Amino acid sequence: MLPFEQSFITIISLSTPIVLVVVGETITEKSGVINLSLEGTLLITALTAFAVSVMTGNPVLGFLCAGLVGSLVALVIILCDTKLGINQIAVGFILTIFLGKLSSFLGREFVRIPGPYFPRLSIPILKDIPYIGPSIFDQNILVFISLLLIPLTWFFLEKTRFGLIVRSVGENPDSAQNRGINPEKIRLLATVIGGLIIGFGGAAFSLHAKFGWSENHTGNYGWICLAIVIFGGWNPVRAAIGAYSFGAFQLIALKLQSVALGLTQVLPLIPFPLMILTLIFIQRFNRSKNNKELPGLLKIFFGGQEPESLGKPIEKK
Amino acid sequence: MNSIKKLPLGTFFIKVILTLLVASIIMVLLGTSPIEVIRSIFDGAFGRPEKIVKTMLIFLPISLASLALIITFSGGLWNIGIEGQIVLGAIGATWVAKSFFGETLVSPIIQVIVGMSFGALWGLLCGYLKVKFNVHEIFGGLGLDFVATGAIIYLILGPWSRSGIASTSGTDIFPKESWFPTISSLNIPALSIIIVSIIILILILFLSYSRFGLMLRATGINPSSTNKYKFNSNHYIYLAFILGGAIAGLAGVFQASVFYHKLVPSISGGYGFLGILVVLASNRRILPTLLLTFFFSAMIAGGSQLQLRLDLHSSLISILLSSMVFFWLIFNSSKVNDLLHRIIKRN
Amino acid sequence: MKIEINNIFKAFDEVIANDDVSLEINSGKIHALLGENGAGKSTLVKIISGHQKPDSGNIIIDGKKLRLGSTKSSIENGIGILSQDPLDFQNLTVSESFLVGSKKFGPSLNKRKIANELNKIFAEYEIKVNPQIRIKSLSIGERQQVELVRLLFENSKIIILDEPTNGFSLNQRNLVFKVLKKLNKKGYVIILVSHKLDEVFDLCNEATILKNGTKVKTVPIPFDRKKIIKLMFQEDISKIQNHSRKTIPPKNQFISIDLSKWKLGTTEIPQGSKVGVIGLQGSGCNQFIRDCFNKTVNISLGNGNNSIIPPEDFHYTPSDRLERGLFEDLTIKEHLALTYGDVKVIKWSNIEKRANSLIKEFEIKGESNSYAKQLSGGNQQKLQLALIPKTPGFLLLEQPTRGLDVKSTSSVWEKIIERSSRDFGILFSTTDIDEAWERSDWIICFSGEKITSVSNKSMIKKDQIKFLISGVKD
Repeated sequence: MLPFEQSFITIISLSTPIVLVVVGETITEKSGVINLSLEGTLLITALTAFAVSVMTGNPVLGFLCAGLVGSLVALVIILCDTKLGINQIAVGFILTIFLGKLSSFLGREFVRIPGPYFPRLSIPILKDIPYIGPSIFDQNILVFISLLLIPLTWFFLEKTRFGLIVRSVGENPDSAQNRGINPEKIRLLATVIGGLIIGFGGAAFSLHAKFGWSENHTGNYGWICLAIVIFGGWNPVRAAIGAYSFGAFQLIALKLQSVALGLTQVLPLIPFPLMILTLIFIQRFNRSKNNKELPGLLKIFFGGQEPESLGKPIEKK
Repeated sequence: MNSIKKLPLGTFFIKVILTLLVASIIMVLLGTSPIEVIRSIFDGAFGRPEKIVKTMLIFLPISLASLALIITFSGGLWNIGIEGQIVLGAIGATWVAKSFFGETLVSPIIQVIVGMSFGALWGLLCGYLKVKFNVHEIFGGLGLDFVATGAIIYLILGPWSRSGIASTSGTDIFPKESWFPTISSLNIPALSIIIVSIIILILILFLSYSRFGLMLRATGINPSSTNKYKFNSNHYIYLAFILGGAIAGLAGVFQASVFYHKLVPSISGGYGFLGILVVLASNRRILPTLLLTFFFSAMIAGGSQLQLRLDLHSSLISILLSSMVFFWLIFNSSKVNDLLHRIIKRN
Repeated sequence: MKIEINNIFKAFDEVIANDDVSLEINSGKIHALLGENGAGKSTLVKIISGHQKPDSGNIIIDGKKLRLGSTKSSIENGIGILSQDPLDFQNLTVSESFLVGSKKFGPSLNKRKIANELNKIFAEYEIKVNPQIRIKSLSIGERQQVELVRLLFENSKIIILDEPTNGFSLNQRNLVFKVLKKLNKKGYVIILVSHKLDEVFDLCNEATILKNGTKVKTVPIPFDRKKIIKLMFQEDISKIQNHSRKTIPPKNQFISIDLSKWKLGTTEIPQGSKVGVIGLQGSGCNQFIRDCFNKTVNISLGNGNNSIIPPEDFHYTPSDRLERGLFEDLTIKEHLALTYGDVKVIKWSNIEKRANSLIKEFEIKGESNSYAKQLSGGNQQKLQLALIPKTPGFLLLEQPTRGLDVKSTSSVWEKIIERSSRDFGILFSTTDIDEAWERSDWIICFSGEKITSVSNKSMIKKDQIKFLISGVKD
């Protein structure tokens, strides 16, 4: 094995769920909607994936059901917001608690029992490439999917006509409507599809990265992912980089645990100061009058644009 | 609108009944019997005098958390950082308990002062991030919650660990003087009740009878109209966070000194977030908030028995409470109200 | 190409915006919609563009009935609208903003190819804009130019311009007009909503005049300007005119208003005067009042030593009452409590009494416990006036009688006049010439954000005002 190759593989592998979640939430937030229920959604979808997988013996089915649950939760949030006029943040918050506790309740019988593993995808020749080979081409298929989704999502949002429509709704729903777009419909689609991918992320926890189920199995990851989406400047690629960085920190903390107790406690904190710093930088540079673009390196790490209509309901005329 | 749109009182009760019905349906779906559960909760909350005291011990911190949230919601703010503010209050109380003052008679008072200050500081941080850097209070609050959690775990495993053993079960028990004075063998938390009552009274006075309170509410409703009335809405944001943080800190003090008598990692008991549920449902009005808090406390106190009696997971209570709040919001949403209005008009 | 608008009726609550409006426009026509504020022009074009749905009526384009209330359907039928505020996307690049909703470039966006295309198009229309920069770095004029080009790009054959030239430089305006005339020759239908008669006469070949939601007349251009203005501002004989005018006791003190922003030096007006700022919507009157409140325009007591009027003595009421002047979820008595700046503790019983007496005095239809959002617009305005402290001050009132019926209007003015003898002065903006004439001692006329006249009422004739605010050089 090459130096640190095992670590590299582990990081890519274990960060998979976070990558999926942040990519999904980025799509949702690009259209102007915050899915604050992430913490609860992750728990319930992780449980769903594992439970279905154990009960049917088919992890792929578990994976799909988790996605379904994720999109259903997202649907509830967006419908309450658009059809009933209830604040999306309030609904998201309540669901966080509800789904979290529901997962504890329903998951009692699934604690610490074994289950079927997700199939492995092994591509000959490619898997022998150093570092990348074993990480991507000789791995759990979920890892492969997550890696595919990153460029796909980026391409979709930045380079396709429909992705532009999604972004336009996130910026200015009124102007979008003027172009013949139905902003409510777009937000619905973005939220539900985001929820689907988030559900897949939950499955990636319980079927792969942290196998099985236990009480509060994915604890705090939901909040961490929200922070990483912001740190990612609402750009799926950078959010993924943030996810992998977090995975790296986790691994380091694990290795150093014997040396410095409590490092694992510090770990969940790291995304948040970074998130706050990112928000501050984004504010500073985007409100400047002459609209200077950030100097290159800073822009990559701290640039980004918050969708103007994020969290704001669409006004009815 | 020219006419004042008010729905008859009857609709309120219908909504309450519907909400309770939904809770029952959920209980059935989860494989439990509503009647058994209700009976168990009632018994667990009010069955014996000791249990009533316990219910009260839960009521006090949740009511403080809810009141703190009323202040911040009035200012138009989502104070998700409340959990961290509670934690900081508890840390403050522990600090006092472990200090020279910890074994003196004035310990409770000092704890209150220090705990509230710590909580206020934590809230102020949130406010500062929002005003100076436009960091939304949800994300600032979340971040500070995590930092607070990190701090408390560090303290419990590190400098404040139990003599000899560093354990997540908490610190050493506080010296007796630091426990708040109680009455009778039942340990009714007399001082705490007095303090909370005072706070409630002050809050009612503040929000309803002081110009500050009115200006705070104005800031929450429409920040752009405020400069016409010549006040700076930013000052009110700071004020809301400081007051809210202080009261939340007090809840933390109670948790540490009145309930647990020591510092534990999960010192807040999730009461901050529960407080958010309460205030969302009560729409920030003080009396409904207190009534709802009472209901929540009874559910939680009674719910701790569920595991023993009916072999039901304790999470059932939170499931019921959060779903009831959710459906209550649906039944009170503008669309549903419009629908009810139209139905009533037709008759 | 022909667009037929038939019997359009649209009401908002009790206000009738369009009352059975019908007209017909053929291709190759540049058709103006003229009228005072509130005449219904904006509503009509929003119905054509699909942003609003009429209560009844239909629109037929080349024999095909248009599905109403859908922007998508209007766009598909070749309708495009250029609004007062450019409906673009500030944070996107020019290319991106241009392409939102467009089907012309296929599913994937090739940035370089698009930039080239756009450069070509922009060059064709003589627009100097770089497609790679963000919309927010452009001026309003440039943004509107880009929007117009976008409409053409999307094959809009019916182009509506809703007072779009506010904020244009002269060059930009001429460019746009050149383009429009070219399109006109190609057979496009162009509808221009404007109150700048100069522009209308420069560009259009016919005009429809709307008043109070109904169509008055359609005339060809050129036409007698004076007749047009008469039709637009027709005297409404049924209006009750209140002739009560209190004489102002002669004062030695003067108020100085610094008009250097409009390159007009300082105007001195006797203390206690009522100054009416008249102009059409968007011409700058309201902004003027706001400027006086936020000290962009300096008002001082000038009698040699130029003493400053303390800022707390300026009392300002905005025209969008609920958005910037009141708090929708606070009650009348809570609003009153807010105004007592020095009081820390609120004695509600006193406030209640005071609120009730103010409600009676100002004839507000509501109770001390009524929420501001429950009051009608007129009553909200009365509330705003009632909240002004009775001590002498300088009143800055943005359209104080906007949305009020005749009776409320005169009672509001009674209250204003009652205190005018105490106050340093009253500055109010309005779009109603009668009101400006009846109520003021001095008149400032605005047109296109420029001051066209500042004078004592005795120095001009009422008839002149129409011209002064219409941008017509007499």
